[in-house]
Amino acid sequence: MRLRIAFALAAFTLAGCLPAYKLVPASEIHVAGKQLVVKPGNEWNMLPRSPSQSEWDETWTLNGPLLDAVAFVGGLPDGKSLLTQKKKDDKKVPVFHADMNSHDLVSMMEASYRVRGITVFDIESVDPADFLGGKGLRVHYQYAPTDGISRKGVCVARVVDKKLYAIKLEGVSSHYFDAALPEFDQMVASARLDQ
Amino acid sequence: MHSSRRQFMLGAGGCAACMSGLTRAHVLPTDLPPLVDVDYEPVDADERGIWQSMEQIEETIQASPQRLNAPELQGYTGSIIEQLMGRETPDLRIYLMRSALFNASMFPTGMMIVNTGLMARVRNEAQLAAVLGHEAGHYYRKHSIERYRSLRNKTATMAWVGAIANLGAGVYSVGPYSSSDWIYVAQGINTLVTMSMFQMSRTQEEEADAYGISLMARSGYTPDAASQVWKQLIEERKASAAQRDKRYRDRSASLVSTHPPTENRMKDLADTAAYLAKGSNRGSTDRRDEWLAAVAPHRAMLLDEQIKLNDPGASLYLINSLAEDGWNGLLRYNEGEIYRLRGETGDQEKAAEAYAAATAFTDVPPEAWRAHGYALLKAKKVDDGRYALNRYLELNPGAKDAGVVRYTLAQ
Repeated sequence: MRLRIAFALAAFTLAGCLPAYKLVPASEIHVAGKQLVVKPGNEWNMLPRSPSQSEWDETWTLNGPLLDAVAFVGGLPDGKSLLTQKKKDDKKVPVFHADMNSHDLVSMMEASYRVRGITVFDIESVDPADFLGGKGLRVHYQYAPTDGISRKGVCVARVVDKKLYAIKLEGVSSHYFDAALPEFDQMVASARLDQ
Repeated sequence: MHSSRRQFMLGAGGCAACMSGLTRAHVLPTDLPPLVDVDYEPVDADERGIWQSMEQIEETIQASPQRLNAPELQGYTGSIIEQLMGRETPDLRIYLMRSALFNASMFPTGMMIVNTGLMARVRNEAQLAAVLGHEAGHYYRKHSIERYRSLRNKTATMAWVGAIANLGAGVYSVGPYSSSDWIYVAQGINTLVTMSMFQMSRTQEEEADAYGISLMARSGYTPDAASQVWKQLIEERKASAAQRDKRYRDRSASLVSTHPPTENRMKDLADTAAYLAKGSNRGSTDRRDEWLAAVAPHRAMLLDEQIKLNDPGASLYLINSLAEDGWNGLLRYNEGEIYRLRGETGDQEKAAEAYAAATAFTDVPPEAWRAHGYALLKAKKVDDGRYALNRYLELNPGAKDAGVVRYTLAQ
């Protein structure tokens, strides 16, 4: 049985049917839908979409998602969540509401980690930040996932026309996060909405 | 299963004369001597291999970012083990780890992991002693190595790489949780199938229950505390399920579960406690005040971990249970947080009421002023909201979110 599965997987791989990473060029590009546009300074690798992934987010990496990742949220509508609520789950996934203030948005972001079993999550700073032509939020945080390797993260977010737009960078605390931070800042500065 | 188990447990505290009213008892307390003494060393190649692997895992746990840095609470927990064993216990090494899940795990070399999710829920020292005594039972009765040999004989072809690491016995869990959390930490192993093979057997769980409760009785702890732990957990899970319009299901009731069904376990422990109390002339205590004093500096963090899991039924159960001793600012603030995170119709108003109530207490956490302020701003009470946010900044001048709060005030 195992052999059959292995053969089937090999056949699919050879045929190119398994989801694959896609190269993102260092030029202006639409991300996570049709509205959010950014201009990366480097080539990135777009992660294949997972079946549970929402239609409003997209993730890129430079060195592999366990080391660094940039994620985009391209207009999450009111009443929707980036996480899937499974029927059996005890925990309620956080849902975005258009009337959320900065306090609520930070809590929603934190909850998206906590409900996935990450207990150690610390907000480092929350400040106003320019994003998409207006004032949004810039949140720096640290967390320890269950692999025991600390990660740093930064997220810039803003609600525009009742939809949530965000870009976040996460990376292993030693080296990878700091190395990708200038590129992240450039992408945030370049971000615009294609109306 | 149920009746034989009850006989087994009743035997745990019995004497020959006392047993006359019972049918056959499978195991007497005299059948449960420790198989490991204070300077125990592994005796054969199997054990030596396991110990070597476990040393690496323990080093990882020691350096883990999830380890709780709380020397006093650590020392206090160690003192409970010593009280239970009636001696110093350098052979048992306890690590308090930040995981919001209710669990504790015992590993074959004497490394014990106690989750903060357990600390958040126990109500007195005797309840914590019940868990620690059970875990100690796994170690002193050598359950891990016994299980390892049993499984190895059954699965000769299995690849053992990494499998040794799964010998932890996560036994005080309810529902889907297991000791595997810390195995992820240790080795990043992600094979639940392997995990499940290395949980303790039901018989071993029952023996550890018997071992733990007899230690409690011997040490003067109220043996009833062991069943109370389960009672609280069942009530909490029922509250969680009701919140989601679900019916409570005992996931340990499955035939394939290594854990005895939770309700049975609670009843058996209660029966045993009653039996032990009847046969003992010595007084017992739950040492509640000592527990409350030890946990007080960490209560805010423990509640925060639970509330942010966003399991509103379970969180409200916990807060309301703690409030049986009287509401305070910390509990009211967390009550508000539960409603705010739940975010259902009417929850904003409920949260606002709770935050307002929190600010009336002298022990109000600064964060309650922030939450109160934002709730007032939402309700268009701008002056009051601004006052509350300023109060937050006064009480917490180094607030991590001071930048955005000041921005809000400047609007």
